[in-house]
Amino acid sequence: MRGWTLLLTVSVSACVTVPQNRREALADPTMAVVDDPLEARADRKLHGAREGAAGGDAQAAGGGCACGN
Amino acid sequence: MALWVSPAPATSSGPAEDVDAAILGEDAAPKRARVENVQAKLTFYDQYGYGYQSKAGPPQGPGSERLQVVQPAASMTIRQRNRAVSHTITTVFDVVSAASPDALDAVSQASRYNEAATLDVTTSVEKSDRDTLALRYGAHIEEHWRTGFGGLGYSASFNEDNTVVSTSVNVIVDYFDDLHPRGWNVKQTYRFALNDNLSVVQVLSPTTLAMVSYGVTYQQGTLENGWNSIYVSDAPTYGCFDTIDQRSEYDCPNRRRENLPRRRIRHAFAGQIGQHLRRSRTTLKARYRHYRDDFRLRTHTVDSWVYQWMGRRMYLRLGYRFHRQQGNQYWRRSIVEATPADAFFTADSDLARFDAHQPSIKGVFYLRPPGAASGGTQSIDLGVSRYIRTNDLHVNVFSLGYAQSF
Amino acid sequence: MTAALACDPSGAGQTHAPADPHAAALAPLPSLEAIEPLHPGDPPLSAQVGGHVVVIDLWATWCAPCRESMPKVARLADAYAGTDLVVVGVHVGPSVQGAVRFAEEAGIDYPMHIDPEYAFTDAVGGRSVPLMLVVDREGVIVHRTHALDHETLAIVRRLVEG
Repeated sequence: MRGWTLLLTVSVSACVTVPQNRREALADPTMAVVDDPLEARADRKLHGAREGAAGGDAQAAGGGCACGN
Repeated sequence: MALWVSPAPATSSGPAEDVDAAILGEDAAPKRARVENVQAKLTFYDQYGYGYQSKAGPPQGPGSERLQVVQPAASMTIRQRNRAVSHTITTVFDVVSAASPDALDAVSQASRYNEAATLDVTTSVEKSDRDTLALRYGAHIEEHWRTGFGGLGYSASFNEDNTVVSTSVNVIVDYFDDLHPRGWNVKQTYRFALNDNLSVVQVLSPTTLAMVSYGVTYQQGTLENGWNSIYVSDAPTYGCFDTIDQRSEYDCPNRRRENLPRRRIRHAFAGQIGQHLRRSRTTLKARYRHYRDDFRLRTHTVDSWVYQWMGRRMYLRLGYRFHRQQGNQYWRRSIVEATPADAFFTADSDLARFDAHQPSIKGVFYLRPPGAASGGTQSIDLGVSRYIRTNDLHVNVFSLGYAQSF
Repeated sequence: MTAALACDPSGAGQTHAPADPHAAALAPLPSLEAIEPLHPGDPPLSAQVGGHVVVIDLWATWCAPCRESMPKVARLADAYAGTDLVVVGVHVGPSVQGAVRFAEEAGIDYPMHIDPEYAFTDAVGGRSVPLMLVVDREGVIVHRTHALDHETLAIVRRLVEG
């Protein structure tokens, strides 16, 4: 799996190079991968506690979920 | 000249070194640790619903899952005098009014409220312009529950920062009371989780950003949560009452504790893409996540957001989330008395088969907008969403937030 | 993570220099035709720089390291006021309105221009901001840097005094 991910990364990055000075749109707050860290954290807990499918997304899974939220 | 911190010297005012130092601001106060950003959020959850694992209802269930949560949270990033080192400290408090999800309430009503606190610290060390090491550590404390966690992460950028690859390993240990459905505390028990993540963020164009990630989690120990029960359909019902308010002591033999394997391996794959439309100042984002584990739980989740700037100081975000979950192999509404003690079963509605929908709206208003000459931003935000599960549960979520960067 | 990709708006991460920041040093200054005055009616850049020692600061409103660097550039302009040195700012990219607003809010009083189509930026091999170019009286780029530092100031001093 990791091999495929790395291969994909190398393939994509090999053909795309956007100079840093062209990244005005990417600096827009709405373009952040996570635009509101506390909200994302609260959402992860909301869904993790009600869907039994936590983990992944570059986030830890398991533990610390004893409360109702 | 609001920006400038010290007056400019004339070239003839002193030795060249002094003039240069003044131009570079080296004659100003020495560098200290500084706060880079702060964020605070108050979230209120108002949940209604019923689940077969809950004892707060008729003995045949389903019982109430009604609860309310008030959740204040705050986060701060501090950069040390050594600019390569920063610490992000996050604290979250939960005050949960738990009518049924908390066994202590369901059985004795000894505690109508359950308080929890989390401290989460990430220390980042920028080893070079291109790679960062992160150390994560923290704890979660709840009435009958203690969690400690720690992890190590590494992130590297390539191709003029067009590609950022991050990986992390985390260990989470839970230590908690192993509660019996009839209310007594059987023993102290534990579970631990080892978690590994890999993610790649890639610039695809000056207006397009993509992310893919994979995470695997290995859990071992007591995976039951301690208060979930299951209805025994052919057992006598003496000692069972119809509502939570009628009982002073719960002693109903037609409910057994859920029973799950002591090991679980979870996999999650996610991909996200964001596109900014310059002309209309709109951002479109979509995310897909697939989850599977060895309980044979399979989920597909799609998130989508539309961000629309309205002037320089405000944007609106509309969101919709869809989640489809195929119930795990151990889920059932009830068991019979003859069900072996070592069989695995759960009636937890969170692990059942269902769809979930969540529309949301959020407004962010900037007191100090991005791109202001004074630097940094300052904003307040207001959000509302409604989480609706097709197996009889919904949650109204309200949030109020504040954020400032310096 | 995105921040690192997009010239960290928080300023936490610094921008990264191209592989060889001196690659285009000692090159003649390319045509300035693509550069427009930020305020219509101001003289074009070509009319301001001829025969002078020039420091050109390429910057953008959305770039935190640029914002941190600009007070230094302004102090440089003030320190050398009345000398042969001309300090100019060139905003990189099409956001004219944002650049005008920023310059007004910051009270920038050295000449400000804009390179809306990146033509000049590309001609000098610029790939990230901030980027400062030091140009001698003959119109040759003799030094380039992503951060105003002692080395750059020494070069400026030598050119002005020489």
